[in-house]
Amino acid sequence: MRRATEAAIIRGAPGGAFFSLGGGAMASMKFDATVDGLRRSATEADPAAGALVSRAVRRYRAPVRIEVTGRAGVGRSAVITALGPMQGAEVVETPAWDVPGGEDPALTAELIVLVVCDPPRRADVAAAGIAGDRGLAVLNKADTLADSAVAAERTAAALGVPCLPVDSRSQFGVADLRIAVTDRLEACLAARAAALSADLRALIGTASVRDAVEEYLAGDEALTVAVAAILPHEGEMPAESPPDDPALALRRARTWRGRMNGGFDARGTRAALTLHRSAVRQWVRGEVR
Amino acid sequence: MNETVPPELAAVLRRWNPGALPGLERPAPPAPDPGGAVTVVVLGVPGSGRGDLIAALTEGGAGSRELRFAEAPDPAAGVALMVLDAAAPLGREELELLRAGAESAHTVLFALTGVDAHHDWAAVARRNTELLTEHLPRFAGVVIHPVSVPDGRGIEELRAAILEATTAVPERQARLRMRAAGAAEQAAALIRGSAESLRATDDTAALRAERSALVADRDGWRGDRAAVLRRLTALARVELVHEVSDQVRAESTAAREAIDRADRTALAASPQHLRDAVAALTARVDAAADARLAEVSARVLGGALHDENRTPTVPAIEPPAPRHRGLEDRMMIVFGASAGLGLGRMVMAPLSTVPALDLASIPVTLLLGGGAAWWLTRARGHLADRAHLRQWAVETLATVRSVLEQRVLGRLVDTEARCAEAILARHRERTRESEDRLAALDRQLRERAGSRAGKLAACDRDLAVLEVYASVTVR
Repeated sequence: MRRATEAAIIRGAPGGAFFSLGGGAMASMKFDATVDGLRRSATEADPAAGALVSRAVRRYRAPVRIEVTGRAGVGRSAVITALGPMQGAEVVETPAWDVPGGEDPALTAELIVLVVCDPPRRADVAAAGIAGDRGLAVLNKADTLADSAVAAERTAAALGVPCLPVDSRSQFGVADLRIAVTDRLEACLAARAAALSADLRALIGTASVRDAVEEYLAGDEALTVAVAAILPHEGEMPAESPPDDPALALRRARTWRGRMNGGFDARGTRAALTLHRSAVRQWVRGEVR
Repeated sequence: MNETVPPELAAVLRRWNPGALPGLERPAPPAPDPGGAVTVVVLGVPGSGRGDLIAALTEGGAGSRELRFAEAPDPAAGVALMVLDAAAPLGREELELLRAGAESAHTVLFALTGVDAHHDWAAVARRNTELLTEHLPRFAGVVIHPVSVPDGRGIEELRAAILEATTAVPERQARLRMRAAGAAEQAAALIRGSAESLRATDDTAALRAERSALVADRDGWRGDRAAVLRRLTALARVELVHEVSDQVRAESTAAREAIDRADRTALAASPQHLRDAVAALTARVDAAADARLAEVSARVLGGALHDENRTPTVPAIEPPAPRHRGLEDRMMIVFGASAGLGLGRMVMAPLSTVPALDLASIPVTLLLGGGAAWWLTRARGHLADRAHLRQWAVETLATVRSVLEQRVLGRLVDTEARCAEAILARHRERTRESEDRLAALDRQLRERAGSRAGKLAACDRDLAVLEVYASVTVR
């Protein structure tokens, strides 16, 4: 959650994440390259590469769209109201499905909340099929059901997407829904951060902007983006001492280093390396997270 | 299939009163069987509470007629029950089910289940009615029975409605028949109005007027043009002949005066002068004739004729014949000599008194007499030449006049002939065009008359169908 907030600072306030370096061996190095600076220098050096950087950054900074969809009368607006505003996301209501004489809406968002009533209809199954991995079903009006948990399981099985029982009037299940949506949102943001890093890394092959990109990727901001791209389960610490321990950052760095050396899958090793670098820089700055 | 609305009446209503048809077309009810069981086909999407509702309807019906419920579409079932869920308004799935399942049912009832659980069922029921009205006009304004299986609400009312639908068939039929009769009445009024307006409006008047104008004008143009041509050529003939004589007369006067004033050298040149004058005169006459003939063709044909094949020539003029010296000239020499001698004697008379000069006076007298004789002879020759030339000029101009008159009259005749030819050619063209147009007009008139008759016949046919239906209904 904290990592996501830090990444949000970069997204929301361009150029605002400067980190002052402490003394020591790394004092001569500069880690304050920002993505906006990179964009400027890349545009000066090579307009085509600059446009690529701009597009990648725009994609990274755009708010995540969450579409709330479903048949007419199932309570899409009520679910949006119960969900409340989501930070870094834009929640929109689509036109209804299965309207006589109407057309079904196209689902284009990164995250789709499908509101259904028990039992799910043919149109609901079709919508869930289109949403696929982006979909999250909400079994609304759960108070009218005898056993909402069983009904939700049945619905999830019918639709092929996870399903949460919710009653938007009595706020039953809304907290769980919020957590589920937040998790999905974080996954979306991590995917975007990973995409930005990958896009920029792909630009290293372009000679005219190589130095600028490498300088940025070595910087603190790029490291923050890379940390944000790590999925929550990959970045879990086993057990932590109390946060007021001054050597916490160093110990954490050691832990990640151990995991990095003992890792088996490439993705996990890369995540451990990134977190190790982050912990070392925190130790250098004398920060404790 | 349909007792209330026979197929021929349905066809008429579809043409004239399509709005009334969906409410009338429904299958005929099965033959009433007061003692037997009634089959009700129950429609509903999975999860709408159909099974529970069937169970509730079955178990509470003791003492009344037996109701048999079928979940699959049954052609024998005259009554259908559509089960809707109060959770949300109906969608395309329910409409499809209803279209397919309720086709064979003469009466369709609607039930809304789960009104105990869903507090906003009334809004859902309203929306359902709207959707049914919009997409299946047969069910416009139907009653939706709210039911709740767990607390038994509305079950008895629904059962009563089903029984009423199965037993009160005659009343229902009568109501339907009345509505059908009303719709037929409306359609008949519409048909009569259309037929009357068809009979009243005659859209062929303009075509007929054009046709009669064409027929009247078919030969008129040619006669009209021919009369104009005759009048104008007669006028042109008179005027051109007059113009020629005027010009020749003026030229003749001028030539005579010039000859009268001419000395010997001018007299020698005067035939050439006359030739030039005749050339100018010819040009003037030709120009006048051109203008006149162009005016004729313009007024007759509305345009100039193509150029006539004409080479302008000046009338040939024979030179004057040499004057014949006759007795008069010789007499004039004698008279001149005697007069000169007399004159010489008269002049010499005062000198005779001088004897010395008597001898000398003789040659002088002879000289004077010779001189007077020469002058007199010469003057007399000049006068005779003038008279000779004057005569020649008058004769020449008379010839020129006749040549010119012949020429303009010839051109006039030629122009008249060519104008007549052009009139004839144009007349043929116009005749062909007007024949074509007449044929087209006749065709249009026939078509319009045919289509009008066809429409009126269709109206009459439809009216006959409605009348037959009305007589059957009254009976």
